[in-house]
Amino acid sequence: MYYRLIKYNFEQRIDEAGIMLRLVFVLTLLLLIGQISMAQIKVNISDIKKKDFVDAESALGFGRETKFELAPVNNQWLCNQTKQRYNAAYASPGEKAYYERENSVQQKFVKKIDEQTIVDFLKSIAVVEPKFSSAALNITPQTISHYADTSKFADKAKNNLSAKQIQIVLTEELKPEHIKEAIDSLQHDWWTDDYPYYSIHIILKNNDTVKIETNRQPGYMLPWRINKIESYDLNINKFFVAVMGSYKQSNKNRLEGGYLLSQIWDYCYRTFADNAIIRDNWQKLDPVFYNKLKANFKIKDLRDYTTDNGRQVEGILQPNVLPEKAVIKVWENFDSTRFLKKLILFTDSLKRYFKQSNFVFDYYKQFPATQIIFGWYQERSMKWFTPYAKLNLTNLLKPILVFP
Amino acid sequence: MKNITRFSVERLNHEESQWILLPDGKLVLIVYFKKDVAGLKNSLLPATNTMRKECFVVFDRNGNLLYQL
Repeated sequence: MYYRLIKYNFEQRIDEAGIMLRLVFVLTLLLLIGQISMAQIKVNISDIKKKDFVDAESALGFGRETKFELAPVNNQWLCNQTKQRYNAAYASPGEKAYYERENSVQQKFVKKIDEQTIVDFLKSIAVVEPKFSSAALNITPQTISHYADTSKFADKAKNNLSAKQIQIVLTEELKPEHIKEAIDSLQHDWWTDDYPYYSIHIILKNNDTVKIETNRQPGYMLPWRINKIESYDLNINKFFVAVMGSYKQSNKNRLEGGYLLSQIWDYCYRTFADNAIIRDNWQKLDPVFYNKLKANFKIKDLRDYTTDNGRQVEGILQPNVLPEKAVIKVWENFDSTRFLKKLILFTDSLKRYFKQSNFVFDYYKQFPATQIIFGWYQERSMKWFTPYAKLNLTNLLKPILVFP
Repeated sequence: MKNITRFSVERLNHEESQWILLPDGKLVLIVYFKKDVAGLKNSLLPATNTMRKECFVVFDRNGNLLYQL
């Protein structure tokens, strides 16, 4: 009887646990469906009372807030500016006069908006784009090179670069994969003293409101938050630009990409072109040496300096005959023939260590971002050995090793 | 002494350890920055309070401890 009771209780507990689990599963599912349905904003154009827009920006000593609304009047969608407020502490007299003239809370007609533009916008917010896609920005190497040629930024971009070096940047380093990397990286960029804000509030006839907002600093200001759900949809940018009027210091430039193109140029230059320009320098300095070096090593970095002791060369080289992780750090007086000979001899001496692997090399095989760096200075200098210089190393290690 | 080669290991651009490679394949750990060096057990390495830990620990090529100064 007692056994039956225990068994009964046990089975009952199991049933209860099962019911609880099912309940948790159903609740989670409901929550997920809720999230998804919240993300899908379906608005009919006939249900809209009006749309309120805000374009605002602030920084040290400057602030601007521009508001406008889009509402149907006699079957036409009219955009009216409802507020313009500039606040500039350090503006020139001319700018101050402009700001004072423009500051207003009066309703001012801006433009008529085509109904199809609004329908397209409503379609775009009905489907959330949950992931950022650099391809959607449609920035190609040609876009960047055209920008570098024609924009005001052109002089800055090409400052201190020779025509050949500019050619290197344009042809070798502005590759589609480099541009993708730059765009993805720049999406995480941020800086101080710059607070942009854009919002579209769609107010329905039943007074429900759909809030679409962003305060991101980088070009395109993605993602938009549609009722707090993130969406990387550029159609919202296009709609905003189509609706907004023309006034000084607007964020329109930022919505259309802003300084992203110049930032991509900078990124590619700093990350990729630097090495290309070093290569170009070496081709000029000593092309025979450089080509011989290139035949035996992957050159990760190679710079030359003129010091009191003459010309020095410093760099990181990856020998073709060694595994990819193994690199040699060189820092030497530059004498091209001696340098190459010594380097190849040193590489040969390293080969034997990789023939029979050891636990350190084996362990780091699993980590792709690891480098095993051989310093090429131990023959000349034993400074690194100072703590052990006092010890008679040979005697100390005699029991465990035999020197050749 | 010419046959002794020194190398360092950098992971994600951070130096993790410095080693000496002896001619017969034995390895000497001379500097390490983190406890998890090349998968070695923590107990094998001397503990100090500094970020850069200097030591002199000799291992064979399979990672067995041979000598510790």
